[in-house]
Amino acid sequence: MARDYKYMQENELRVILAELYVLEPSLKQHEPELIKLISKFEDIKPDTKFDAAFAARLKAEILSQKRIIETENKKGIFNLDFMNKKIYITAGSLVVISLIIFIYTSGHKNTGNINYIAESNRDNKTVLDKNNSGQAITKLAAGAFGDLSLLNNTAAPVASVGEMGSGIAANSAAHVDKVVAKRNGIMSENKSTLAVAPSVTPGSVSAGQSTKIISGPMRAVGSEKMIVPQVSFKYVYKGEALELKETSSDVYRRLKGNSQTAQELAGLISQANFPDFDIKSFSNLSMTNLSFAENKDKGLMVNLDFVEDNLNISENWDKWKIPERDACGDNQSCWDSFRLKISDVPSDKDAIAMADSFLQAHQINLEHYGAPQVDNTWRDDYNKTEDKTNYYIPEYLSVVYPLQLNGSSVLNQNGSYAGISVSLNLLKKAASGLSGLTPYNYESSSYELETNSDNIIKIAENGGWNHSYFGSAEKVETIELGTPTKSYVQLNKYTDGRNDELLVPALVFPVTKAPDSPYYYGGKFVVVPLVKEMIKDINDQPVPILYKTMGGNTPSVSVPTPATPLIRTMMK
Amino acid sequence: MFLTFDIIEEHMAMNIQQQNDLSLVLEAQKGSSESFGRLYDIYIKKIYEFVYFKTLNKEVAEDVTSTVFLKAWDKIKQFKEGSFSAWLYMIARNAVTDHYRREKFHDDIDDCWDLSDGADFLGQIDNDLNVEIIREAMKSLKTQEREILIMRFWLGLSFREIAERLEKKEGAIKMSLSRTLKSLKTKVPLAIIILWPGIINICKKMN
Repeated sequence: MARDYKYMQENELRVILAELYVLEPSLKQHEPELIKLISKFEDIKPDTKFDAAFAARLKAEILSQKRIIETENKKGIFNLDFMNKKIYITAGSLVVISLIIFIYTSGHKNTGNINYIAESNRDNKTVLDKNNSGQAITKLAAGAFGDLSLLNNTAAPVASVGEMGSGIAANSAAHVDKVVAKRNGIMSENKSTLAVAPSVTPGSVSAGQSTKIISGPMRAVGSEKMIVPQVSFKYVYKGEALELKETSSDVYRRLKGNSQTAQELAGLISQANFPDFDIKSFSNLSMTNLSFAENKDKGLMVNLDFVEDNLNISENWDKWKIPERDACGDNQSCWDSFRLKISDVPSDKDAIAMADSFLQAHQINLEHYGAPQVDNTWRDDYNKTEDKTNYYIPEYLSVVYPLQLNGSSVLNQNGSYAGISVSLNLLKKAASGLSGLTPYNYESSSYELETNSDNIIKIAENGGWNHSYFGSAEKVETIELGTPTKSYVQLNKYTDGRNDELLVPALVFPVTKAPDSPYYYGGKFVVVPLVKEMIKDINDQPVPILYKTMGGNTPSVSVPTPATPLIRTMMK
Repeated sequence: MFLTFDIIEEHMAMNIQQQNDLSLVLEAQKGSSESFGRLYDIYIKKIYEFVYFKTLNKEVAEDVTSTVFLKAWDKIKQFKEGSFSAWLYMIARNAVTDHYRREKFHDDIDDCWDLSDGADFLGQIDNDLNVEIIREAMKSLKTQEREILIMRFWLGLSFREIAERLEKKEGAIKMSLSRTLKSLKTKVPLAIIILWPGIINICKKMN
């Protein structure tokens, strides 16, 4: 090896000298001196100080910068300066880089790289739609997402449901609970006091309402707290005759978990020096989560989840405290003095303006989201309540920017809009959170649809996806359903620890006439999936009776449906 | 015979490199960050060193190099034809000029060798470099003459590669260098200028 180097050295030296002599022949006379000089020059060789770490950082910087430029060209809302290399070595810029990569890049890489397509489906993929920002929908073979039967799923995480005021017990981790958990998920993440209205669950507690409010006379069944209403309800379809011609349709699955991006960020972090441990002792790192908080009045907390690929902004609670209220102690009048009045609730126009301003301030890309809608579900309860002065006006209001797919808004399983939700703190009169922002990257795969309209209507009259059962009572009131519209519904499928976010075709039946009964706390829609295997699943599942209680956890008991005559408990 | 084969080999290698560059550029123009990343990997060290030898300051070289690649990525769609490396070096050259213009040394400074005497110059270069010995000679040259010197002896580029990057004929580059060397011969020990980087290259390969 040493001989090779020596040969290389001599060879290159001769090339240099030969070239010099051609250019300046007189130098040949001084060859011995020149060669001698060569050895001396080693001591004064200038080091260009090329830094591989600098090159790696700059590369990450540049590739993130591209997305900013693309967005600038398209939307003109991003104007960040990454030109100064000194910036990106700071933690702050790392966050910005992360955010940009996360929101605008990970999907780009996903769709642009076959490695992100499931191995078994690689040969069948076709990019159907790719926009300027590189976001895309990738077509896979039919049935590529596996069995969509929800009963095959493992238990979904529902721990937070009980806190959301949805009236569904957290310990009822079976199918219906999962559905409700998801249904309330996005909008409820901001604040528990303003969840999406629960679907037709007569006992459920409405969002802005205290759990002490009781919907009607009840009696306990199997529990001191369980009571049965004196009034029962049933759905009746009153719409036009249904003709379901479509035999198949695409189901969409969101692409997420861009490990390459996470690894790039981890690469940046891994270059840092931590005083108490050596980060380099860890290998094959990837970034799974990044959180940061504003240390100022009304400061925000930002969380980037690189596994689920979503962004969540919430209050840095310590910076939103109201010391005077916190000091109220047992003084009820003190507490009451901080309660909101109905006049404190902004109009929809003002609420949307606040949300718009918040999104603009943080340069949130709304390319794939529709016109904002204020979640006024709480007003249903408010309007029904006789003693309005004692009604607890929620301190938070949500404005939802519906996710768009194929030109229409994506819905949750209760018919409410899925998408970006901006939370407004009405006490502080400021936007204070955001959830539901994800990269717009999906795979699609065709699934067989139900074409039997009688079957669909039958499911709708059973409460649809939510499969509510009102129990029996002497008095039965009717909930009328109108002609449905087709839409995509967002839901999660949990299989073997994997959480797939799916958009599935469904029929959305509007409640055209709801009972006036004060015991009725139903939703405004009944949603029925169109995918055949999901319908079979709904027909097979047991259904819970969900009643409002005097407080605490809401018990849940299943009763047989016509399709499943055996009594099965939903409790686990 | 050996030299002929060597030249053919070099030409072939350069053509292949240019073709590779162009195919990567085309992909990058369609939005492929991966392709631009590969171009980046090919040129980052070359551009950095080119900039470094025109600024003799690590911090400045890194800042300017950052600017070069950010600009290249930003303007990649504006690249139409020719050599990508020539285009990139042109951006680098302009970025160095812009740096000195921004620093308000003078309007007509193309690199650190144009800086005036005293603190202006010494304050801008890495203080561990022994550049004074060649500074006077470099100052007397035109910008392009300096670049040819830098490219040939400090960056180790062949005449053909220099010609490609400067978008000149190979023969013109040789003639220019020849004239430069003759003019320098009377001013400084020629070997210092010529051999300094050449030795570095050799030493690096030996280490």
